[in-house]
Amino acid sequence: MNQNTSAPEPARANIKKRGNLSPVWLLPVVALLIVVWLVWKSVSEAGIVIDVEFQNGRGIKQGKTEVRLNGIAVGKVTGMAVSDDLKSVDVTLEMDRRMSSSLTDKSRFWLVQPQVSVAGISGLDTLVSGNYIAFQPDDTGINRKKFTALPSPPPLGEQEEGLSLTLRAKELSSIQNGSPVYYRRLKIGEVSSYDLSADDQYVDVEVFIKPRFAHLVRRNTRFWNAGGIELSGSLTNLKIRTQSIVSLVQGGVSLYTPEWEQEFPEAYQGDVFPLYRDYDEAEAGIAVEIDFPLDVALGQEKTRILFHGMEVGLIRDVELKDDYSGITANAVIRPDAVNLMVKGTRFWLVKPSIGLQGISGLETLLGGRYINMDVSNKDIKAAVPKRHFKGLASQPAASPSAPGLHLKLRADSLAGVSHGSPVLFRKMQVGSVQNHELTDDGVLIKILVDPAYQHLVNNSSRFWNISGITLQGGLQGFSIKAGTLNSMLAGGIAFDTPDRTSGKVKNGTGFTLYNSAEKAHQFGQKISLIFETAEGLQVGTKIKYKGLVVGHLTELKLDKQKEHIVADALLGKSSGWVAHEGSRFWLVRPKLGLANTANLETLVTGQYIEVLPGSRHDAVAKTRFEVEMAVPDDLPVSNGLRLQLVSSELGSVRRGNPVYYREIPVGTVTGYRLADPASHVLIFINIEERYKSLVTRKSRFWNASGIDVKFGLFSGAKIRTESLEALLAGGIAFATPEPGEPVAAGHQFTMAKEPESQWLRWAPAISISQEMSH
Amino acid sequence: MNGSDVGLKLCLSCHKVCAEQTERCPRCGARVYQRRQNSIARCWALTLTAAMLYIPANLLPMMTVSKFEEGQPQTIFSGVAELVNQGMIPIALLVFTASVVVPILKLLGMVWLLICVRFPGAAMHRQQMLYRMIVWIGRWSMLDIFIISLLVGLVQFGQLGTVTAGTGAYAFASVVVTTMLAAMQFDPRLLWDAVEPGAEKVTDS
Repeated sequence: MNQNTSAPEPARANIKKRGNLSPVWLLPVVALLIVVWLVWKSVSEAGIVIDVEFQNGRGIKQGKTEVRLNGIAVGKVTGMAVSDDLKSVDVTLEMDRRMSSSLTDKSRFWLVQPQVSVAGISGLDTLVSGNYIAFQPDDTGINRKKFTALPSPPPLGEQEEGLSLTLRAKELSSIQNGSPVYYRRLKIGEVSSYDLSADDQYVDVEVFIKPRFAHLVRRNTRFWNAGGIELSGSLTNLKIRTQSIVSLVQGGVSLYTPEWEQEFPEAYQGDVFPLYRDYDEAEAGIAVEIDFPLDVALGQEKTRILFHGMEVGLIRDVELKDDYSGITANAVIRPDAVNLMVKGTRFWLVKPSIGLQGISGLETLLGGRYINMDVSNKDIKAAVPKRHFKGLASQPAASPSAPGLHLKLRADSLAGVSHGSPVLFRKMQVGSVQNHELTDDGVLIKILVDPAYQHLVNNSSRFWNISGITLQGGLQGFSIKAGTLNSMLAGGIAFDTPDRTSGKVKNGTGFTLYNSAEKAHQFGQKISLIFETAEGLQVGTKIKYKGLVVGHLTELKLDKQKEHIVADALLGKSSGWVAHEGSRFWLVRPKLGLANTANLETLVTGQYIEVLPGSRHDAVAKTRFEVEMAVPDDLPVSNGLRLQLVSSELGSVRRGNPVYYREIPVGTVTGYRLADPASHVLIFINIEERYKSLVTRKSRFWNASGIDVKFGLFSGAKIRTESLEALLAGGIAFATPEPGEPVAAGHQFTMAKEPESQWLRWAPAISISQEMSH
Repeated sequence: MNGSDVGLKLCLSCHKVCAEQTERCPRCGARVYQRRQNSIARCWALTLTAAMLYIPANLLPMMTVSKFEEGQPQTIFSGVAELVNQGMIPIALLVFTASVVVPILKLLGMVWLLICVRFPGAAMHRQQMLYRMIVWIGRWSMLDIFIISLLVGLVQFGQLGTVTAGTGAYAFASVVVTTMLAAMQFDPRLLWDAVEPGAEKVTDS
């Protein structure tokens, strides 16, 4: 400095008085601040040292094992020591300072270790990160520094806010701690513990529902044991119900809330619910009792109750009545079927029965027997609740108020029809036989026509039995009739309704059940025919008019008093007019003779009855007729000219012989008889309508039978006959000299033995065409 | 005798001997002082800084080694203890020396030198020796930081294992850097002045 002062100008000017402190001192100040801050921080963040007593120190490492709260480390093991009594381990934990308020006497510690069990794997994270001590804070208690660790993790429910419920079961079955609680197979909680109930009568299972799902549990929620495999049903209808493999092994609880009761409030903490044994039981609804007769064997433990095929409940158990007079089945009806449990509801057992008449309840062979129930709409509407019912051993007739048309059919015999036999319309089942009962004169069969088809029945409906096979036959052919295969086996009833416009029928209307379709369709009038003998007659013998069948015999009876045969005959639908005063019936039988073979077809087709209706104009109804056993002599063929010939002898004239005009048959001999004074013979002939005009008063008739052989010396031999047929069978010929007024019916002519020669030359131009147009 | 006695001063940048009046080195343009400005004060400040930083450097974790799991942060001392536990005593000694002994000795040496300047006594040559040692050893004190930076760069295996530097490493690095700076700020010529008579004039300048 001394030198500097002596130096020339600039040096002094450059000298600056520096501040007392160099800025470099900032550095230690900053460092000091850092240190102070660090110290403060470490002091302020220093943990709280607490002691936790563990039963053993397995898995706890000093300086390493963490204390975790919800997976976040909030402390660490800082020291371990065996307790004074050498029975436990005192673990010193340094807890996060923020936990200070949570370290109370309600806080809990436990060691989390990896656990592999059927319940699942838990604490898997500890495999990698090592065991840790779980800490469950609770700041409502009194602060403490010494704790005792739980021997095992606390139940799930106590770790979170959730719903803790008590399920009361009769037995524990496969439920364990940690068994899942399922809702729609979703795990929503688990079993936290179980214990005997206070009175040792039940097992109380504590379950915990996760808070998220707590709202699913309502006061009416059903819990059932979902553990293991539940097998139910029979043969084909096997139901296997299990929730999951976990629940299979570990057991589980399922719950559901019946939809029809959704209005119930949510369950409260600690509510007690029954724990049903299985799903079916949990479905419990209304308990009803059904009394069955002793012989109703409800073999299966669980018998379903079906209502029109729908399961509405099941029989829980069956017990003998006190007086052994029957059995009482305790049934549980689904709540939604409660409306069906009213007065009038009927229960009956459906079991398989196989007989010649059919197979019924076939489904029960596979599905097990079941209880069927039915109730009429009326009873449902009346809604008189009932809980005790009388069961039937077999199906009853449908209730009169059941939907559909209830009809009564009268029949002589049941003939294969049995309960459940189908009622067919055009071979389609539209109903079924409900019931049948004996009456004084046969059987009364009750049928029910389904509502959808009840319009098919009206007053004109005809019912007939189609059970089995009907074989009808004769030389003309066979007819085999069978309804359906089902009706062959099980019997059946068919009906049809010819007139759709006919009046509607009411419930309970009676019909006749015919034995066959034919009989059923025998409309028309019934008449009685009286025969001298029933020879050759049979039921079904036809009544023909002009070769057309107009009716047939339906029954042959012997009138014991009058000793004749009374046959009931049924006239065809449109043949009622036959049953009038004046109608004549006769039996047509085969006739074999040298000269007269007639009605040969009856050899094949059988005899028949010919009818000649009386005049329609003066029709007076008549239903009882006597049948002539042969074709009547004076057959009043309606459309012909009836004439009488008087002859001294019959000659070879026979019934059916032709009447010739110019060697052309224009009529027939219809009969002959002795005249009343037996001095001569009356021969009845009938001239066909079209040839009526050929006969006038001047007509001459002669017997054309046989051969007229004239033998003359000069004329030679002259053999004359009307025809070869006439030669054999005989016949009558006539000739008319000139056109004239046709004779009235019944006109009497004298028959010559042989023609005069002039007769043969007569050739009048008689027009027959105009007669045809008539 | 020293430079000021003959009117010369030394450029500390290029070691050119300059005339006493020169303010800037005619060769390199650096400012030329007879003695370093405020050398003692700066040196004290830096030494104190280093001393204070040495506290967090030892308390805070130097690095965290994670193997599969969350690793425990390691301070220098716990690292050494771990090494000893695992029986690697030579390495533990090395680390201990480099990380604990050397920084402490450096700090103490600096304090010693500064005290000696303030209260001059005999055997200043030993202090010179000490100063050279401190300067020389200064760069080697970064061994820990070097290892940490190497490890952090190399061991990054994701979940399997990672090494992350802790805040202690920064503190430690700061300690090393500040001690080096302190040593650099220290003008050893002051030691000479301390033993020479009339040294006060020079220190004052």
